[in-house]
Amino acid sequence: MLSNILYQNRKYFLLGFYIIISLTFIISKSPLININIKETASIFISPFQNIINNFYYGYKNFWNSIEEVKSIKQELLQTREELERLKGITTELDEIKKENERLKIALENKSDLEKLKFNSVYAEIVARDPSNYYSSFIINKGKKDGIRINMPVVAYQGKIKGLVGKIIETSLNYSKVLPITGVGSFVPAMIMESRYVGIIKGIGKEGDYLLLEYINREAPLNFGDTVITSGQGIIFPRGIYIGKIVGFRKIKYGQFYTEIRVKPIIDFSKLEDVYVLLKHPDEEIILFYKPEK
Amino acid sequence: MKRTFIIIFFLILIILLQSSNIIETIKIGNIKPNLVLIYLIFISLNSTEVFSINLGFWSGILMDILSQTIIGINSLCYTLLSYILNSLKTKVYSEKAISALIITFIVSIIFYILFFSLIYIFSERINFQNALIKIVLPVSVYNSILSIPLFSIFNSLFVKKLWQKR
Repeated sequence: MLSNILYQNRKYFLLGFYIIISLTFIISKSPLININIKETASIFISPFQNIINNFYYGYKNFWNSIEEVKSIKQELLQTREELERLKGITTELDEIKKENERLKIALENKSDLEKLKFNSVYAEIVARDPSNYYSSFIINKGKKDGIRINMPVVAYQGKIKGLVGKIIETSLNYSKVLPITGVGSFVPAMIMESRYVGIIKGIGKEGDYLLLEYINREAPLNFGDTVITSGQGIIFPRGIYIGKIVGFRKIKYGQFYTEIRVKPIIDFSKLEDVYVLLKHPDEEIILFYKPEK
Repeated sequence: MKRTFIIIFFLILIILLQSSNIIETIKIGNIKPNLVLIYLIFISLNSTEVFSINLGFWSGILMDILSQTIIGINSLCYTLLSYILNSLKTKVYSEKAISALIITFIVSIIFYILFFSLIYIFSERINFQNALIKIVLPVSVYNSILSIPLFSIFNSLFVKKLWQKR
């Protein structure tokens, strides 16, 4: 009898069960529980993300190679001398050359990073947040490479080094990065020209800029002023390039601060590889904020 | 059994695709389509209630794990929408393209309003107006446009081959 009732109404029981589970997860909201579940699951999921990503780049490279071969063929037809000269040039060599250049740049960047007095780990982005609201991404280096939560992440675009974000989750081989543009990102920052300090806040995909808040209204502001990390706080070292001021206005809920829009120096949609600075959060500073017993 | 396996296989493939760099290439502005949602809408409209509730919950959990959200938000949204859609399927769905377009648009709107409400209640105080204009509406339009070719692909993949074989 009871089993009959259960069977007939199984969809409602299932629905209720799933809703309760989801709500329990949400309400518990414990970062510890979340991280453990995510960490464990990411061990299984991340390799597949990597495969998909590699497949994509393989496919992309394949078509790029075909395009290159086509143009070489056209040139070969033009003159016989050029035919002899171009025969030796293959797509593979081009790829090696590109790889060589990339590694050379990576080496230059590495020596530049050493000036920050921290070791760094080179990593590639293998997956991005599937939602439209958040913008975190996953890199192919994890605890095994010395990466821990709250380590800063930087990147080079051209020859310019800029702040990317910080590590928010790690598993053995992969880590999740919260970019400075992401919701929930706060970075102590400073206007390089006037030395006024504030907080850079990410607004997610609501806009392609950052907000620099808590800057004193007396601070002189100019379009194009450079914003860098201030080094205040426990995560980010001082002097890393964040972006340039592109607009400002007085905020309505306070008369002492000006809200400033900053365009990040890093173009996050083109970001493929990053460097994680192996800088642990300053434990001594944390101790100052712990209540005395 | 074979059908279930293939549907789950495709779901995992789509979720991995949604979180890969490939999806970045079809971004318009800052907006990427929600392929998982489109897939779930299709499956919910074409399968049993119990199956679509199960699929909704587990795909939500997977999305939660891959995303920065608190675990439970996506699973709750996907489970509820799968159930509601499945209950209404005979009333709202026909195989015409316009039907896919309208249903996907409405479901996307409801999904994101539910999603952002849960984020607002349990996670952070987001700017609803901004989220509506810059995320909810553009994504819903993009989803609904994409639903026409995708529904046709899913139809030929699942309905015409798998369902009829039974």
